[in-house]
Amino acid sequence: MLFPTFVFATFFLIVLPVGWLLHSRPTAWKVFMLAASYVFYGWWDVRFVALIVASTIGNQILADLVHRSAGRTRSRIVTVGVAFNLVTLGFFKYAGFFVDSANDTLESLGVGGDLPLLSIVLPVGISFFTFQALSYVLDVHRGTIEPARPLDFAVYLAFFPQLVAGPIVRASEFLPQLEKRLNPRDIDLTRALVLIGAGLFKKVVIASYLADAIVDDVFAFPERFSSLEVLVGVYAYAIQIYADFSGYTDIAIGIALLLGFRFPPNFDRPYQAVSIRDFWRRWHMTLSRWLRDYLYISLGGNRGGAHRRDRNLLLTMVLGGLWHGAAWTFVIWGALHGFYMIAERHAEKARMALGDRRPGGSDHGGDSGGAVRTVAETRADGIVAPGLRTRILGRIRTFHLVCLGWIFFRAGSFDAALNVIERLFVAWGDASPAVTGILVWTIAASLAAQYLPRVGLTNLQSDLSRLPVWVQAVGFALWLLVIDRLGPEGVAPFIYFQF
Amino acid sequence: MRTDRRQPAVTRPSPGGDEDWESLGRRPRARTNAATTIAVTFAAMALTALLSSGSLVGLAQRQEIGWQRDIALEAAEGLDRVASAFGFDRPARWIDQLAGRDEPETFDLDLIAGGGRPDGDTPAPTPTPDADPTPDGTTSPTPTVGPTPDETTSPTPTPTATPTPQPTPDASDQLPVITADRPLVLYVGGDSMTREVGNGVARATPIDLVTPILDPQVSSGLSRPDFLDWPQRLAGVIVNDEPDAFVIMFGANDWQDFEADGEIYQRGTPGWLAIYRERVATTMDLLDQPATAVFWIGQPAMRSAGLSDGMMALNEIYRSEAATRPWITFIDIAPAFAGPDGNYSDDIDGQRVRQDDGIHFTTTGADRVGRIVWDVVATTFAVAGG
Repeated sequence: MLFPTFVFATFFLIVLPVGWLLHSRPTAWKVFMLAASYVFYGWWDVRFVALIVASTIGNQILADLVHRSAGRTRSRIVTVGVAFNLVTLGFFKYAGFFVDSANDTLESLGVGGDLPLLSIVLPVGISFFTFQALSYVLDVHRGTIEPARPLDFAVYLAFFPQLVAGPIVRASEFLPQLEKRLNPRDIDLTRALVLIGAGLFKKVVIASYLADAIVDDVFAFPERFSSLEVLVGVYAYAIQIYADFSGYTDIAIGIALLLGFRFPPNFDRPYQAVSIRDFWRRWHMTLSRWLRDYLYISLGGNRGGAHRRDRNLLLTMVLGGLWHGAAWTFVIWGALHGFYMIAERHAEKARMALGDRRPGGSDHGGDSGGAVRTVAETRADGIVAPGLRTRILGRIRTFHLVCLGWIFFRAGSFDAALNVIERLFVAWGDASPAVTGILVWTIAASLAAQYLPRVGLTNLQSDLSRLPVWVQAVGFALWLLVIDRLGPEGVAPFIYFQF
Repeated sequence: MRTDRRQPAVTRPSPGGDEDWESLGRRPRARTNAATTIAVTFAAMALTALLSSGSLVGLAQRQEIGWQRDIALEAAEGLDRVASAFGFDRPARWIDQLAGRDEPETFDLDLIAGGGRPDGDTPAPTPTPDADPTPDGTTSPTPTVGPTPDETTSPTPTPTATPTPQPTPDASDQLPVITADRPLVLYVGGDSMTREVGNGVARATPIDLVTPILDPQVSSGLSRPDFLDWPQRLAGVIVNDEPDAFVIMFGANDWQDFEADGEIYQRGTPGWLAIYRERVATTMDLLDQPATAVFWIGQPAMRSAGLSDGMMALNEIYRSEAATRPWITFIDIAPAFAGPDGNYSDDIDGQRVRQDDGIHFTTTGADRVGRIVWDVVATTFAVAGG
């Protein structure tokens, strides 16, 4: 089931009241929610349910074993546990990729590549729930949490709002909420409606329009477009993938709120990031935190000198790229971001060595007599924040570095990505009929929205929450109508389901 | 632009939620109880259903033919009547007007088939008095070139050899010579298969000689005009875009039951095949335009054996209907996608040509189709310097 569909709406109109009717009977609530989540997942393919049940049983046994053992036995079990999850994920997601790559290698060595190629159905959401299961086993190993009751763990792994496309909620974030009694008088309805409404608008209207207006064609046959059109197409893809993915997780967070659960935020206006490091604190936050805590730190993190640190960073980002899909283009995308961050760290260190305490250098305030000079703020870690001009330059630089990465992310192959990049340079001055006013306006407005102040958004929600509920209901219905009229017929595929 | 002082340049996401979002606001948000939440959700959904009842009718129409669709359609149409009676459909119309979404114009297919244009570019052909009425009660005009009407409309024509086209004395029916100054306007349309195929054609054709118009319509075809009426859509393309060539591909969505004249026809039955053939014939006749060529792409084998057999049955219809119409060239791509045993194959020449669903083409597969199409188009039209 996809969120923006009639089937899901019907499903949710059953799950919501039944869920709240059962709020005072935790076990009944869990059994019901687990069954509902399996229906939701099985709607794609009944076999998926067998997979998630197997993953649930396997990881629950592992977590219990880890909890009961100590010393070297414990480490071994953890290793087995990690391997169990990665092999499952690898089998469904990467088998074809590795066989293909091995065949290519054998072919190039002149040994002929005839390894059998399995056609495996990729279960949606497997990347997401496998990472959730891993966080559970590793948190038990680290002593952050105790193993949960099997039913609780099963609900955590299968809970339908975040099952297929995140956010990646950790066991330590979810299980305590499951143990607490649900409070039927403390529902954050307004925030839920705002999140669902905004998410649907981003996904159904903005992302679909941009894909259709320029992105799909520019990436399918860049040779037919001018440099300006390709550049606008790349910007449009940056907005499209943000609107699509953040829109979907907004809906997920909103739906969870209606059921009485709070999920961590997953996106925080990523295109206003001043550096790549900042970008990853704002983009798919639940994944980047996961990678930091379970992969980067496990590799040794910052310990062991600059070289080791750089290596760990690069490896983490490459694996993060590979997590998105079984293709070299994702590996390159991850490696690019790894190199960006390594370069940023070295640049910052070099500036520090020159005695500049402000990352990003000094701020001279331009020629306006210092009117735009901002008072440097002291950050929590004692580093002085950069000035305004540095921040603006940093934002422009970061956005374009991210866009360069998106070209590899979106293109079907390395060659296709290079074609797009080449086209950015060789056809300036050609006519650009694809760059229409409404397209430019949509991109500009979407980028401007990345700079909406957080405090204003929060205040707006708090004002809305004080409107009579019937006004909120009517407003939400009218908003859905606008989305319905402006969106395409039928449901566009969701980009992140490939992952 | 002033930045928000209270917000450090880099914020650490606080694990466990958005408390920091909370603390920024003037005052906390009001909370709601479960009963109100459920009531608001239901009320909002009910109101949305009333406001966009037209979309719900469309949604119900898109379902597969069967009793579920009947119930859904009955309910949606009932709701739509209620909504219209009380003016609930007005906001949708206002939004459509603001967004510039007009109702698509309806065309008289008989007028357009054979080269008539409603805008009076060319005189409409006068229907011959003795034209056989087609089953739907319309008369088919005499085509500029081609078979007699009774051949075009008989549901099951006996297989005959392709008649040699009589060259027309009408100079306007000469295909244009393609040059860089007068590139070929090439329309590619059909179901979701044509998304990749259109891209492949756009990549395979010379940039300076061919201007593609790509029109893939997901989940559409000739079986379900209730969802998307392709003849009407193509009439609009003929009138508004005036392509020199059409590349058409239907079938992948068409192997399903449909309803015609109030009766349900099971896919693949003789009655079903006869009506489907009629629809193919109507579409082909519509595309008989002066100085225009039509390339009709057949279906490749599919991974599912049942679907594959269906596609071969449809290919037979496309092939035989195209054979009696000189303006149509049938392009059989099945051999180019058949594995060593002649059946479906994921890979051809060691490259993946079909997507995971066993239906759609990969980029590589689409490029293959594009090259086949361009070869045929380039031999049909005179290409300057080619």
